Amino acid sequence: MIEIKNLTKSYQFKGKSFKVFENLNFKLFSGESTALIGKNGAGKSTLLRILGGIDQADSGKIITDSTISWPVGLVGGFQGSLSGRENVTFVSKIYAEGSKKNINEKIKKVEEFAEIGEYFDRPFKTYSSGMQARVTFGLSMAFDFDYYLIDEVTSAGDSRFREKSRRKLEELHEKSDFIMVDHNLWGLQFHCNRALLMHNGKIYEYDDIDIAIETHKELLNANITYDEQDKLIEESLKNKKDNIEELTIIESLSNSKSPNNRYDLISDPKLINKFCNNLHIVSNNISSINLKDGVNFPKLIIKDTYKKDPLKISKEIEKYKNSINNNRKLLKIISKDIKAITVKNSINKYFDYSHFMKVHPDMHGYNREDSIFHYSRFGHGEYYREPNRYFNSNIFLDFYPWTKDLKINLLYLFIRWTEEFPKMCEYINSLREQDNK
Amino acid sequence: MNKFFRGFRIQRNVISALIYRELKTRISEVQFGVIGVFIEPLGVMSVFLIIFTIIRELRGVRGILDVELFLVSGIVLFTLFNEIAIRSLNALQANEALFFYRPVKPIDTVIARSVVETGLYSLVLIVITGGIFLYKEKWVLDNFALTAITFLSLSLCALGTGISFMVAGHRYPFLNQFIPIVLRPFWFVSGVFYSLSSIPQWLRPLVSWNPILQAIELTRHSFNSNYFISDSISLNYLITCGVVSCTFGLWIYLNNEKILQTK
Repeated sequence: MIEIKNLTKSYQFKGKSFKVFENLNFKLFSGESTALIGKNGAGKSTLLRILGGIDQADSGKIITDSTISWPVGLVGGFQGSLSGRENVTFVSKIYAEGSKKNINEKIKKVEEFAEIGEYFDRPFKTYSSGMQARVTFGLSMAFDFDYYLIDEVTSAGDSRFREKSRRKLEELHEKSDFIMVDHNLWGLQFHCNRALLMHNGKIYEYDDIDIAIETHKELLNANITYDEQDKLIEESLKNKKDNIEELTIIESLSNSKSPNNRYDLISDPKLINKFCNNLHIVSNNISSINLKDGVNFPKLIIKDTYKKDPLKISKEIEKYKNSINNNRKLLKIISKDIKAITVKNSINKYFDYSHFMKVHPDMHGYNREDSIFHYSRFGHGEYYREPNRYFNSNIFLDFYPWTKDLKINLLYLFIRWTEEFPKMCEYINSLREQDNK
Repeated sequence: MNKFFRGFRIQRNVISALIYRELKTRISEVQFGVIGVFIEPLGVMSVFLIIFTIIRELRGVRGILDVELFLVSGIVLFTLFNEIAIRSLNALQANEALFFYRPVKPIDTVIARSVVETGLYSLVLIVITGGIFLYKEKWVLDNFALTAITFLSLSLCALGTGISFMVAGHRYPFLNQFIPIVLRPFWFVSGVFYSLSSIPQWLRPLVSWNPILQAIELTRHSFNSNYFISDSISLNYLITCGVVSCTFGLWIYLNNEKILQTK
């Protein structure tokens, strides 16, 4: 936990003193990742630097028993005339406890992560900005901290590196917490679950990052007076959205089973409605489900009982939910209003199924070229005209917006990933037969 | 207690990392690698030595101590002090990037630089005196322990002074230009090319307080115990100077650490 008490910071410039912020009070709890939002010059990076111990505040205290990293993403701590290896050695000597072996291990780790080949032994100043990002990021990730301060990481480097760094961040997220500054709001939404909005030297705490981002955008757009801005923030703080939840489904889609059955399910909206009516209770009760291929992940197994009683399915799901509740990468599936769906395929590309959504935060900025959002907004025909190298039509079929009812989509996805999918199809077929009679 | 030692361990790690970096930076700045770093001060010392030897030979001054040894102790020790003091003044700016890492404190950079300079100039001293001994085919080192202690005490003095300079230079930026200018005349009052006993009696108290002069005279005495040093020169005084300057430096540093870390 990090507790901040009465933090004040000002800068001296030509004899005048400029207040960056005054009397900040807030707490960051462990297990929560926090986004720092605010317009340029609001003091986000300054706060990050103070948290990282690079800069000192005028007054106030930072109370913590956790280890905090240096701001990841800034190139500040590197000396241009030394090679990447020498710079990394320097930092390893400071942070790596003990032996030479330990230090060498860290250096090797960074070298492997950076993938810049022989440039690793050339002076740091000769690097391109992408290479600098690779080395600095790799270096920060080589050491374990309780908190990572992350400053504009998701927008650096080429798409391969961005992908890699995002995966690395996800990996880190399992044991560490983030404090992030990023103008890429979608990236913040992805990694953080809490937000601090900095505005006019004050800080506002939001438990819901979406509201914070919306308020931030409104503040950016509008030409409004200070009073109105304050009012806006006040209102947004009261506003608690309990209807809107975010859904993230991470799953390997490439190994899809029995496409014919799937198509049956998709093609018949009537059938789906019926099916979903039966599963209504289930869908209302699912609040978080984790679906991911992986050894450590529990799999949801729905037993034959579901044929007789849908209620039992919900109990199964409840059990499953409890078993994975402690996992950080929870998928939040809420049946009411869903805001975003992200799906990851076998090569770990994120697809935004944002065409389901009424409102969606700016996914534009997030890795635009990798996202099918670009295509999906034109409707389904566009997919075929513009084949995306990351995207195959097989996957697409899964998410064809055959119905606007998102609940059904989700249930479909959910069921498909259970091991009992073929049985489910049987059940659907039996329903259909009943219908025909 | 554990925490206490942990702090020391961290500082040791930081200083060793800084020394590594300092050496690597210097190596990257000069040619011929490690030897290049060493050649520069060696060259400067040698040139000084040759010039002053010639001057002294021409003037026909003869002392008990060899002229070369007499001069080398003066030049090397003065340069050691001067380098540490001036480099400490720049230490904060030169290492600004490194305060990026939380464990690195301003004082560590000064300590690291002092250690590097002390090591470098002790090597220079060893090589030059070794060269002189070989050339003269005569071994003149009566009291090695005294040489070593004197050398270390002087670098301790310089370290304390360096820390104070760093703080002063940060608080009052004009000192960054002023201090190097003030340090120049010290060359003349530190006995680099004269001995204390060779100057008029009334002048002696004016210069004998100077720890650099004390160190230089003591070193000469340690080379050849027949070299006469007056009563006002004492090792105790030099060590006291070192301890006092370090205490003062640390005190002033502790009071200003937060300011030094503020941007």
